[in-house]
Amino acid sequence: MTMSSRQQQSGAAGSYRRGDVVLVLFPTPSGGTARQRPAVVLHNTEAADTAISVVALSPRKPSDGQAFLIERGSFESARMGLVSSLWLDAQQAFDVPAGLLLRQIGKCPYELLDKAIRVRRQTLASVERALRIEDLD
Amino acid sequence: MLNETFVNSVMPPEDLRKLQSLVRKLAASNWTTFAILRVRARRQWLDGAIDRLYADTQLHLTASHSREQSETLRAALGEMEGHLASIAKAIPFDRKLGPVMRPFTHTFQQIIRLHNATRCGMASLSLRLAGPQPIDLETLHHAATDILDARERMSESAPGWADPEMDIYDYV
Repeated sequence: MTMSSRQQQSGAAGSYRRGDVVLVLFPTPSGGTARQRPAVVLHNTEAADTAISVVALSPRKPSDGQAFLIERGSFESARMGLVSSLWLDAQQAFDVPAGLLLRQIGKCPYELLDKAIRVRRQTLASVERALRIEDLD
Repeated sequence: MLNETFVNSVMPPEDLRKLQSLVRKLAASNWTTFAILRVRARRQWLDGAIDRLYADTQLHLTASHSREQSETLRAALGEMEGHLASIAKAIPFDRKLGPVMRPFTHTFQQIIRLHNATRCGMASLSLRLAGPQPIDLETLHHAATDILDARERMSESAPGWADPEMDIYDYV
């Protein structure tokens, strides 16, 4: 049994691998029923983890930074289990309580994941440099 | 661990903040030291009825409490009751939140039972689960805080997630 099928059967937060595309429960601002939204897991996780770092897959093109468009019908989109064109902006990572992750729907191709993570590292490095400069000032 | 999960769909942010505040007050009052309320904790999902939760309650009160302490607790729980009722009402319509809500639900059930006990004029200034784990209000508070934080992070980091066109992923 694959990890994916196991998670889908249980419907509970389990262990995920970096690059897994998962559905996250997203509370709507209007107070309606929570929605399912796709995201990419950034780090390997264990079942005991209470929070998981993910990158949102969003239909809106980020105003700044380097984002990657995953077009509907492309190889990447199919591999990731997506059904619409979405943007992957690795600079916008955030932690989600593990309980909000529903299940895995696909896998981010290695090349795309590698590029996204490289951008993220560059961004983090530049932020770190900026902070050091501020400290010196 | 909770969930934005507390999620607007289950509890509006303002209600969640009120609940957090109440939980903090209860935790600060050290109310768990006064008496023991044993609850037969059934780890089942809220299938609708608070009345059913009441029916499942088993109370064994073993200590007395002061009138002032009792009044304070009763007031706090009374304030909380409205929030709990709205939560219980909302949950059956959003079962997708089950995995996220379950830890809270367990605690909510106990609080509801505790409130019920106080309304019956019984001494119940503390509560302990019949199970291996005592109720942990601090954990609840942290979980609720985590959910609020997660909601804010999601809104900031994934603004496009609110777009209705993304609802197609409810059917993936």
